[in-house]
Amino acid sequence: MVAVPSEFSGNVIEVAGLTRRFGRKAALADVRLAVPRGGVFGLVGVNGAGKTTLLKHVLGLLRAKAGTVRVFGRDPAADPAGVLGRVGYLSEEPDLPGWMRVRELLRYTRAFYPSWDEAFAEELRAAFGLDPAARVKHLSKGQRARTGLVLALAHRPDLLVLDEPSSGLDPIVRRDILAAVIRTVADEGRTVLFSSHLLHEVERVADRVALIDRGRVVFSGGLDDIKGTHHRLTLRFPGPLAAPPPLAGALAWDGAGAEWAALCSGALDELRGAAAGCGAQVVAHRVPSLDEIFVARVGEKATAPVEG
Amino acid sequence: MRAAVALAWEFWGRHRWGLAGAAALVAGFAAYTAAAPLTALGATLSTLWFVMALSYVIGVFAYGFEARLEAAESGFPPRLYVLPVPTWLLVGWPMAQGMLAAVAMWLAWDGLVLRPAGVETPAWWVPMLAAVVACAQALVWLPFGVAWLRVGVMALALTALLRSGAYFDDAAVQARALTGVAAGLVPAAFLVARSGVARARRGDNPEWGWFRRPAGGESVAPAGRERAPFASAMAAQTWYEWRLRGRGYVAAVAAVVAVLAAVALFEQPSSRADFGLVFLFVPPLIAAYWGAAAGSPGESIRSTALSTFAATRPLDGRAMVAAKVRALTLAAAATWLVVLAFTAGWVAAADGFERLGRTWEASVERQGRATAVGFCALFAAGLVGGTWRALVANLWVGLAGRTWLVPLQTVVMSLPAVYLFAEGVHWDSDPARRERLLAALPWIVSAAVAVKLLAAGGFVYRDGASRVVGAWAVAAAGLAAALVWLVPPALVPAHGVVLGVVLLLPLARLTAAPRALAWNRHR
Repeated sequence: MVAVPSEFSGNVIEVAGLTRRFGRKAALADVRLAVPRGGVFGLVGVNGAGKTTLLKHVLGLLRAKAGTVRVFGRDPAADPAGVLGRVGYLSEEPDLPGWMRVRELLRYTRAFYPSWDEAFAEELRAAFGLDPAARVKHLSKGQRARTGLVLALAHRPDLLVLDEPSSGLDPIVRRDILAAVIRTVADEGRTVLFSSHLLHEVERVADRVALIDRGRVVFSGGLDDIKGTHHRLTLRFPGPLAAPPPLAGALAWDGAGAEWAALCSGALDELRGAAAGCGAQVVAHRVPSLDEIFVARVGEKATAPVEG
Repeated sequence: MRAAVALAWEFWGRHRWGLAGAAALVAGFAAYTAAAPLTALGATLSTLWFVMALSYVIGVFAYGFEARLEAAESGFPPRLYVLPVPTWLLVGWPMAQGMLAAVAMWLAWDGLVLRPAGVETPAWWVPMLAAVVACAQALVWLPFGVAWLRVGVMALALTALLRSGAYFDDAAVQARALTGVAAGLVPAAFLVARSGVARARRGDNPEWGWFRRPAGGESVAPAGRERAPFASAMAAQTWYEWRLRGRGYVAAVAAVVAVLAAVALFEQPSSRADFGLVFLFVPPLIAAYWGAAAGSPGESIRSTALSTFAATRPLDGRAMVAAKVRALTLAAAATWLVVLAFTAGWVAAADGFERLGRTWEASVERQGRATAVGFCALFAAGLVGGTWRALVANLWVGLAGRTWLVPLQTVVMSLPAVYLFAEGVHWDSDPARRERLLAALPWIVSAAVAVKLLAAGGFVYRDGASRVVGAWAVAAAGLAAALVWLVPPALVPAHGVVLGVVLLLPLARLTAAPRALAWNRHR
């Protein structure tokens, strides 16, 4: 009784009302999330925001105690073999068995996936310069990440889950990981769920983004939609101000004197109107980066969480 | 000074419950002895509990619970290397504390439990105990150039030290000589440990790979063989478990048998063949220890949580447990092949087969051929089956991944043994009490059987394990039939045999294993 028709709705992952507490701390609070089939879904948030906890629920490593998690329409904790057989996973610290040689690790992992593409695995291993005779415990951090990436990709998973995969790695390995993401989604219908706090990377590859802050999804949507509804306006006031005035839609302010920059959420025309209502003139406008939106949303000046 | 206090706090604070438990064990026996003195035999047997507590204390002060004894690297915790503390203090202070704690425990046990029971112990045991502690610490902390070498060296060195008293006939000479040896060993152990830790501290771990390297050639990692893919996911997982937990057991048994054989070479030639029987008890004995850790799902036997790598294998829990059981079954079979082959060779070399033949003929004459064969088969099945049982029965504890379950299970499983021990003390002196126990025994056993079957039924109902139940039923029926045939009804009635078999063969704990794993895997 694990099959629900989420695959028919086009969503690879459906999370509804997921709440998880560790002691008194709510790691996740009523999380609702839908990851559609195809494309790259970026999950962003500061350290401790709940990204890894959410991904562990998706992998079935944590059982949903309140709410539901469905991956390919199945409960990953009730049917781990059915779900994990279609998932490739790479974490920030891939805890691969150190006693195995790279060759043994590939041979062992291959046995679990009928869709394992040996030629592809060998191609990736050679491209990443992994010595098949090397023991995993003797590999550098970057080589371990690459080994984990080969294991995650070689069975051509329907869903690739990457949990902070490039944190602490050098730019070459990070490039390899991003290339793998791009390569995966090049295969039609495959999906990548990519958690990171390196927002410029997410911005490069993600089609959709969800921001998690203190266990809640602050906003979620297409990257273009998110950027289309956020604006960085530079406002000039008639005279110097000690603090910026209240402005509908403003998430964060920066500046001094008579010229202030506001990062705002809303329609541009309405924001211009609101600025004029405060006696300010919009002297510059640009689309903010995801980084700026993120800081504005979760920084101290952020407004209350809004479901996006 | 403050550094020494901080280093001491790490032992006494971190292991406060375990050390308090060891102290409580000594205090408990001392209180019991003060109230009702033990017999000499009772006190001597109780010393087994003391030895277990003492081993724990030595393990604590040797950082043994975080060291990998089989590793070539030093077992000294690397996290301490960065402390601004000289190496002699890093090494000497835990050594001093370990020796003091062990000697204090021994003096308390000797004075409060053994001597009131009339058991006299030689005075040289005190310095020798200190030397054993220091040597154990030094060997754990010394880097070896080859994996597993430490285990062999430790087994040989500690066995030689513990048996050192047997090499002297004159007690006075023995006391003088061994006190002198112990007095020399303690500083020697300190110097060895200090040198080893200093070396490890500067990252200078030796690599004795010369025996794998061609003469004059470069040291290269072996390329490994190109092997065919696994036939199935189950085959791959069984291989994984064999490498993780199975083959280590075979190696551990082989090492212990080798050490025993080395010790036996010092015995009189006439008694060497008897060691063949001793070898046969090594596999179940080691399995009792190995089985306690075999369920541990991680790379290290001390890891409780499943690694993400292991948890994300697309395999359901029952298949993962089945792979573990298969690997351990394979390990038990391989171990017995090795031990039987070695024992046969040993007995042949010691000219023991002739005596064995005479014993066999006498047995056949006394009991009849069929019964003698039956008892032999049962003895063999008991050793092999007991080994397997010890390896797999407690998998659920490790698989559950909760550290608190280990001591809880140990205490719960020890309670019947403690109770039986207490009853055994009064067995001869209180016939009325003995009769009451014998009358209640069938009820106690029946209740235990009922609890076991109900628990197993619950797990089977929820998880399904019809093949396990089927195999268990066949094994139980076969064993019960053999025992009913062999054991005289006057000794144990048939229903008692059946109840005993049902209790003996693991079922509830085996069927609980997948649920325990799921509890750990899907937290």
